Amino acid sequence: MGQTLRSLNPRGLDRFRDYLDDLRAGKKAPLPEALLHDDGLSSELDEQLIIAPQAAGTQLDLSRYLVSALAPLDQSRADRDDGVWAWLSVYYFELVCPVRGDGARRPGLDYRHVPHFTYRDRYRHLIYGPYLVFRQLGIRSILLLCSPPSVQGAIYQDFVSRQDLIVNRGAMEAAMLLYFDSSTMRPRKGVASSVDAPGSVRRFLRVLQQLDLTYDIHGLDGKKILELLPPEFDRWRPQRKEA
Amino acid sequence: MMRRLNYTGRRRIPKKKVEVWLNKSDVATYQFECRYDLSDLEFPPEARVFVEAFSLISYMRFDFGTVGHSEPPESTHLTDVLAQPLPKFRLKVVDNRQRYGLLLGVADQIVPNRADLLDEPRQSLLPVDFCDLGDETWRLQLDDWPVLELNQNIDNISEAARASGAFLGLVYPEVVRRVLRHALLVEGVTDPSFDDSAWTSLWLRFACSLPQVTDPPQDDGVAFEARAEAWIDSVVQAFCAEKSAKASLESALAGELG
Repeated sequence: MGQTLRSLNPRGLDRFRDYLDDLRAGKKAPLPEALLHDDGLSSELDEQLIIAPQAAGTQLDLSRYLVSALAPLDQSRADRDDGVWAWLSVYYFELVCPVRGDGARRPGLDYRHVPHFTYRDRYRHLIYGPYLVFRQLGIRSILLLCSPPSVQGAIYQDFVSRQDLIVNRGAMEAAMLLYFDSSTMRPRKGVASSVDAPGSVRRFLRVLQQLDLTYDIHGLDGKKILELLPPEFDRWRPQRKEA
Repeated sequence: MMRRLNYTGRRRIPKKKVEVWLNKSDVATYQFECRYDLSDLEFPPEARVFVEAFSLISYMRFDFGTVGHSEPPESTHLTDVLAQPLPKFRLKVVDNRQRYGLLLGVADQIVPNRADLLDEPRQSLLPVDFCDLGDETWRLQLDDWPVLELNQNIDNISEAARASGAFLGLVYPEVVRRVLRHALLVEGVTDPSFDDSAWTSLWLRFACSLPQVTDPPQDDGVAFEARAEAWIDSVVQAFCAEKSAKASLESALAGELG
C-alpha cells in the first residue's frame, strides 16, 4: 500500500535533522512518522504521486522504481526540492538507515538524508544521488549502483566525483567490461582499491583523464577505450579472464 | 587540483572563435546554435567537428560535419541535458582517418550566450538564468561555472539586473565576494593564469584587473584563510569603487524614497 508523496517544510526538515542528531548521539528514538503526513511538517504536491514501499534491494532497484514513479514530477522541481527527497528518506528510512546488529542506527552526516544541492554534495544523498545517476545512465549505472541503498560504495563515490567521465558512454562500457562480474552482479573483488593501485578503478579514472587530452573519448566505444588502456589493466580485461 | 600535460600537440581553440547561443525550445528547455571559425587554425579539412553540451551528469553530442564542410545537425534541442545548472559546451576537432579518435583541437567550458539577454556576443563571467525561486529574488549557483539565478516570476528582473542601481549596489558586490571566496577557499585556486578555460582563473583575472588590486595570496599554509578574506575585501571595495555601487544605490533610493 502506497502513500502520497509529500515535501517536508522547513519545520519538518528541522525535526528530521533533530532526529538524525538524536541517532548520532546514540539515542534509540522511534522515527517521527508524523513527518510523513502531518500538515504542519510536510505538504502534498500538486501532482499527487503515490509512492509504494520497496523491498530491500540495491540502489539500482530503488532508483529504477523512483525514476518511473516520479516521472510526472517536473524535473526542475525534482532537482531543487530538498523537502521531497528528505520526505522520501523518511519514507524509506528502513532502507537507507537500517537498524544495525547492536540495535542502533547510524545515519552519518545530514546530507545523506537531506540533500545539499551543491556540486560536491549533490550525489551524497542516499536516494537522490543514485536516482540522478540512474536517470541519466539507466542500466549502464549498474556497476555504480549495486550496493544496498544505505551504502554508497567507493566505486560510486569515485565516479560521481568525475562527472565528465560518468556521462561518457564508452568509459562506462569499458568500466563495466573491466570491473563488473555479471555472475555475482557485483564489482570484481579488489577493483575498488582505496589507493591508486595499478588497474584499480581510481587508476582507470586517472588514466581516462589523461586519455581525454589526447583522444575524443566521448566518441569511442568501450572496446576501443580498452584498447587504449596500458598493461596495468590487463588482469581485468575480459579476454584475460577467459584465458 | 592536478595540472594536466598536453603531450600530443592538441591545440586549444581560442574561445573567441566559438560562440554558442541558447534559445528557448518547444521540444526541450533549450535549443542551441553554434557559430565557429576554424579557418586559420590549420586543421585538416576532413577532420570532424563535434559540439558537446553538458550539465552535471547529463550530456549530448552533436556532429557538425567536417572542418572543410560544416553541416550543422537538423536538431540541436537539448532534450537530454539538464537545464539547470545552465548547460555548458565544448567544441572538438577530431581526426577519424589517420589515427581514429585523435583529438586535434578543443575549445572547452564554453558558457553560452542567451539570445534573450545579451546584445553582444561574449564569454560571460556570470551567466544569468531565470528560475522559479519561490519567494527568493536571486541566488548564486556555484555548482560549477558561477551562474546568477533570478526569479523568473518578478516583472522586469532582467532589466533590473542589467541597469538598476539598487541591484548593482546590493547584489553584485555580494556576488563578487561569494564567487571569489569559492574560487580561493573551496576550489583552492589562487593562480589567475592556472587554466584559461576555468572560471576560477577568469574570475581571478577579472579581480586583478580592478584598480589597485594586488595578486591573490598564495596558500603557503600560514593564515591563508584570513589573507584570502582580506584580499577578497579589497577586491569588493575596488569593484564597488569602479562601478560606483554606493552612488548608484543612493541614486536609486533617492528616486524611490523621494
